Amino acid sequence: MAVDSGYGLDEEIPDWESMAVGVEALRRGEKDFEPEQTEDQSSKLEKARNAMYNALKAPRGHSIKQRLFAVYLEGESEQDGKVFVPYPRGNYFKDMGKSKNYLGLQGGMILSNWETLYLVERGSMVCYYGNVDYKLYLEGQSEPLIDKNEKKEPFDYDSLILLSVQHLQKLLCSSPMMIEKYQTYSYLKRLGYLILEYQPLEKYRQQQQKQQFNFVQCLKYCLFGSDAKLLYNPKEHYFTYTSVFQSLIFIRHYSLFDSQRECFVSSSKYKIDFCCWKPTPKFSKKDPPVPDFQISVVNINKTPFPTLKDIQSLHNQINYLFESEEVQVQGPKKTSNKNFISKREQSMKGF
Amino acid sequence: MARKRNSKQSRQVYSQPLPVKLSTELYGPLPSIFPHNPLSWIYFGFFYLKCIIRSSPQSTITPIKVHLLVDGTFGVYDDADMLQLWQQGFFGKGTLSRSDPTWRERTNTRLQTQGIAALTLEDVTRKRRMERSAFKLQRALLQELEMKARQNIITEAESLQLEAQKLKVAAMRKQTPDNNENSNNDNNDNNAKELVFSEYKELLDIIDQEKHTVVKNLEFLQLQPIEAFFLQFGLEAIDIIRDSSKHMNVWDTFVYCCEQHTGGLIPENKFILDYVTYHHFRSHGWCVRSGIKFGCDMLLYVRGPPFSHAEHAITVILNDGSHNVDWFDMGTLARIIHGVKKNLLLVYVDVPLKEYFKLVVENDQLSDREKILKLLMSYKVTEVIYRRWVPNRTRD
Repeated sequence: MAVDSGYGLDEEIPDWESMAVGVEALRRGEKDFEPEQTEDQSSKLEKARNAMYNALKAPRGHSIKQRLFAVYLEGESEQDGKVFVPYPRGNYFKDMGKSKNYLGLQGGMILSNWETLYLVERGSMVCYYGNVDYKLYLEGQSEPLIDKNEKKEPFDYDSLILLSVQHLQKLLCSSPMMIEKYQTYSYLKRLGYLILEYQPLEKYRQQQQKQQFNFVQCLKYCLFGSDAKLLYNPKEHYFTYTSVFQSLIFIRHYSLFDSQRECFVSSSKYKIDFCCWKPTPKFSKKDPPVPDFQISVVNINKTPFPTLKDIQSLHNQINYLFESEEVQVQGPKKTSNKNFISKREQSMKGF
Repeated sequence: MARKRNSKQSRQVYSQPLPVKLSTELYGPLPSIFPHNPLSWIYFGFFYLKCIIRSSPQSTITPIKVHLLVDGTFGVYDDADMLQLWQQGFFGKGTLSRSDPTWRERTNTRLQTQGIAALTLEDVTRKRRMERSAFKLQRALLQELEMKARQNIITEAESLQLEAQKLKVAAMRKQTPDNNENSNNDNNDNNAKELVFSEYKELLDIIDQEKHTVVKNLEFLQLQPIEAFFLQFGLEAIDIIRDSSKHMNVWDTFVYCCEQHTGGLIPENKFILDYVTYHHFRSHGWCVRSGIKFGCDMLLYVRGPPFSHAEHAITVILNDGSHNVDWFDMGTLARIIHGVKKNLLLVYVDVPLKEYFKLVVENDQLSDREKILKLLMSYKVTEVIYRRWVPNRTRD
C-alpha cells in the first residue's frame, strides 16, 4: 500500500511475511472491504496471522562466550534495588550504565531500571538475583575459592537464581511512572537514539538576565502624555506603513527570557526525564554534546495538559543556552517572540 | 488559496497592507536626506512642514459603512468598499465566494458565456445526479453477485448475469467522466431551449437580459467581530451602523461584541481574548484570518492569501492557571495542522483581575478609546509553538 505523502511512516507495521521466508503472504492493504464469511478470506487471514507468530517465535539468544549478565542487588526498600553488571561487554554501553567499582570487583557498571529491562527483553542480557554471598563477594569479604593454580576464582554465578522477564518487571517497575518511562525509553532505543537520564548541568544554568531597558517604549511614554496617543491616530501624518503598524503595537507580550527572570518554583508535575541524541558514531557518556531532544514523560490519564506555567518551568529546566535576547529565526518573521519548545515529548500511546 | 496570478500584478493590486491612506500618497514620497548635503536637509524640512500644516489624507476620507444586522453579522454592502477592504488587508469574506467577494464577476462571466442556462444549472445537476444513482444501483448488483461467487453459492443463471453486469458497469463507468466536461457546452444549449421561462421568473429580476449581467449584487462582505472592531478601534476606518439607523461608537461595539459570548463584560470574555491576539499579530504585520477551515481560531499569513499559504495556525487559550485544555482536543488539532503543513501556535492570554477590569469599565474620566486601550493593555500574550514529534523521521 502506498504510504501517502510520507505521513504514514510513523504508523508502519512490520512486514511479518518478509521476515518469515517461504510463506504465501497477504500484503497490507489487500483486505476486502468487510468481513465476509468466506473460506477464502478466513484462510488468507489465518496464513497472515501464522506468519506473524512464526516470525515472533524465533528463539532469541546469545553465545556463551559473549554472554552478558547482570545481578539484581536488593536495597533497603523495594524501590531501592539496583542492577549491577560485573563484566560489561558489547556496544550497548556506549550510552548505558554508570561505572561502579566494588572492593571485590572492579570495572562493573550499574544500570538503571529501564536500561536493564530493555536489554533483557531484547534477549541480550540475563539477570540473576543476588544473594548475601554475592554481596559479601562484592565487598571483598568472601573466601576466595582456591583451585590448583591458587588463583582467585570469580564468583560462581550459577549458584544464583535466574530471573525471568516477568519477575524482573515486577522488581523494577514498582515505582510510579516507571512503566511509562520504560515504554518511552525502549521505543526510542529501538529507533536508534542515544538516551541518557536527564541531569541538570551547571553550565546551562542561565544567569539571571537583567531587565532589558526598553528604550523605545520609554521614549513613547515621555513624549506622549496620555495613553491614547500611543494608538494610531488618523489625524496624524504617517509616511510608511511600517510606522502605521508600529503605532498599533501596544499589547504586552512575553519575551523568550521572561520565564527565567521570574523564578518559577518547580512545583509543577512536569519534569524532564531523558536527554536524547540522534545516532552519532562519536558519543561520549561522560561529556555529551547538547541534547537534540529533552523528553518529559507524562501519563495523560493522570496528568492534565500543561498550563503555561508548566511549560515555562520546563523551559527553565532544559539544558540549553540561548545566545541572545532575540532569537534569530529564519524567514520573514515579523514577530520576534516565539517561545520555541526545545523538543519536549509527552509519551502517550497513539499521539 | 494561492492563485496563479501574475506576481507583478498581484503586488500592485495588493500594495496596501491596511485600508489607510498615507500622506505620501497625496503629497508624494518623502525626499531622501543626504547627511553631507545641507540642501537636502532644507528641502526635506520644507516638504515636511508642508505636509504637517495640511490635514492628513486619512482624516478627509469618509469611513466605510459597515452594517450590523439583527442576526449579529457585520456586513459591507457597497461594491467598491468590499473590494477595498479585501485588497487592503484581506479583511472579511464574501458570503457567496470562497474568500474574496467575486460573486458578481463570476456570475457575469457565466452569463456571458453560457447564457440564461448559467443560472439554471440545477437542471443539469439534477440530471447528472439521476444518472449517478442509476449507476450505483447497477454497481451494487454487481458487487452482490461477485460476493455470491466468492462464497460459492452462485447459480448458473446468476453467473451469466454476473458477466453481463460486469460489462454494463464498465460501460457506465466510461460514460460518467465525460458527462462533466462535454455536457456543459452541449447540454446547456439544449436545456436552454427546453426551458420554460415562467418557472424562472424570480431569477429574471436580477438579470439584465440584454447585457447578460447581474443587476443586483446578492453578495456582501462579512466581517468577523474582531475584524470589525480592529477597523473601528485600531484604524478608525469604518463606521458601524446598527439596524440601518443607529451609529455605534467604539464603546457600543465593544459591549455588543462582548455580550455575544457568555459572561458579558468580564475579563475572560472570548471576544476580548480573541481580539487581543488578533490585534497583537496585526500590529506586527501579519495578515490574520479566520481559522475555521482547520479547526483553530486564526491563521497567520505573511502577506496574504493570494501570495502564499498560511504559515501558522493559532489557538487562543486562557491562562488563568486552570487546566482547561484537553489532551485529545490538542492532539486532534495538532494532527490536522501537521497534516496541512502549518505550525500550531498556542497563544496564552493573561487576563487582568476582575476588580481592575470593573474599575476601568466604570471610570467616567476616560474617553471611550482611552478606556478600551487601558483595558486591552492589561492583557498579556505569550506564544508557544506546539509541534508533534515523529521520532521515526528525525533520526538524521
